Amino acid sequence: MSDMLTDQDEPEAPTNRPPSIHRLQDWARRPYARHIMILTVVIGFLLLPAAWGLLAAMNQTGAPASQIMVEIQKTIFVFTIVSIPITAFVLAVLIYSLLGWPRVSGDEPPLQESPAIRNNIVAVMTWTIVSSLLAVFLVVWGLVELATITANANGSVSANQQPTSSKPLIINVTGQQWFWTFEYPDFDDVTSDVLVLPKDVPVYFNVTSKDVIHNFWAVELGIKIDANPGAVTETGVTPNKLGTFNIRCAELCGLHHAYMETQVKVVDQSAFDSWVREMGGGKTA
Amino acid sequence: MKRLFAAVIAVVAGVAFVGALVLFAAQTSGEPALMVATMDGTAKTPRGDLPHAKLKLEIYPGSSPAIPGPTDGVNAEYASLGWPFYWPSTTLQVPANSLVTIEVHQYDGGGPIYNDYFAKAHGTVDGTITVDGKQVTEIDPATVGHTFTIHSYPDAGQPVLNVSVPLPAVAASAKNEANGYPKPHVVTFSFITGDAGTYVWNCEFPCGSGYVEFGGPMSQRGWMSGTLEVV
Repeated sequence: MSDMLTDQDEPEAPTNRPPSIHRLQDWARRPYARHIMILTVVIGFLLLPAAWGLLAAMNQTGAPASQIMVEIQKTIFVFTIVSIPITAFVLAVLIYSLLGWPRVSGDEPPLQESPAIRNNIVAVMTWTIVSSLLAVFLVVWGLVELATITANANGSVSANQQPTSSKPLIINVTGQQWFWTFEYPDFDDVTSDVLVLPKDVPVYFNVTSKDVIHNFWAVELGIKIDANPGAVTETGVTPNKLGTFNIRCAELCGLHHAYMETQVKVVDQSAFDSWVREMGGGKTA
Repeated sequence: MKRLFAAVIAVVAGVAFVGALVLFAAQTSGEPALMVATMDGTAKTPRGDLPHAKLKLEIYPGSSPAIPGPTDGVNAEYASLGWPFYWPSTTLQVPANSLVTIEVHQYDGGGPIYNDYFAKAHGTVDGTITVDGKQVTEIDPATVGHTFTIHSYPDAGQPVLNVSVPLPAVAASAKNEANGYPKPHVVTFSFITGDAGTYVWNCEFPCGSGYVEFGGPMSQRGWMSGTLEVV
């Protein structure tokens, strides 16, 4: 065992050491460090198409139908890109440790190419500052996006990002094993099993459940909130795209949870008015 | 070599274990035998003349020697618990692009429903149902026995088929007849199917056991829920 160690493995005396930056440069020139750096770059480029695939998969049921969903997808995109170098470095270290490290046979521990890097102020400062900047960036991005999404959900920002004073359309959403119903209190309590919304009008949802906990998830609208029995949760959105989109339950709720789905149809105002009249809602909001 | 052999054995054992679980689940699922709608010529509908298919279902408050209830697979374990059930099957098959008429003989009691939406007819032809010979669009939400509610499942890429029909409760004071059950309410309704698809349906009246009465027969296929295959 002792014949594998070198003098460099002994604790270095605090004096007579070269400057930290020189020791870091020496470390970076070592074969394993270069191999890991090359692997990091290669894996990073390989992860890029995978990230694009992930982002494309998010749109498999249709493009965003609200500014909220646009903001959510933007956040997922940025966070994915930021995480690629870190993921690539971790995978590179893992792969090199498993496959690339010089090995000896038998029960002996692996050979050491050179001593570990330690007590290097430049290295410590570098990873501390980089990690802190990354964390601050994620927090600031998250807070800004959260504020934007909250403003949109409350109807204070319209579909074209301009402040709005439109009165929101109120809809009472009820989850029940395994069915969604939507009541329009401003229109003679018209009730439907399909959610019909006018485009570019703020909508406010009062969500509850008749039995167990469900989760109201309007996928392309980017809203998702628990439906709790005996309580009302609130959220909102301003749909900005015409079309038919999906509503699912996102909380495991029993035998037919997987089938607890329905559609949301975003239509123009005149079509919405016609639908309300057809459903028997004579009073306008 | 030994490590490779051990890895292969581990993978094979894992696959065999999962396969055994799937086989066990399939054997004990309790899915009743398929009940295929009978064809009865064609019928005039809002979508023109369509093939007409008919199904007859019954709902009992519990099993009897004449009506044993679901006993397939794991359902045999529940047969003595007095659960209500649809009969003779909950696994239904109807033709695509057709008028489907279902006649339900409802022998069970009931009470107030949690959500008034399910006391109204939805998705039927003309939005109506026939209860004991009388055409209506809804029933009293305080005396609902059960419902027959089909879920649309749009994620499967199949046509939307939202149908929900309330079935009135038999009065608690009703006397049993010779068959051991009271005189039933007879509810008839029709809906039009689109292209092929597989749907689930269930009763939305809380007639089960446990929390908010959605356990027991409400949470086990073969009793108050099943599948509707459109072929």
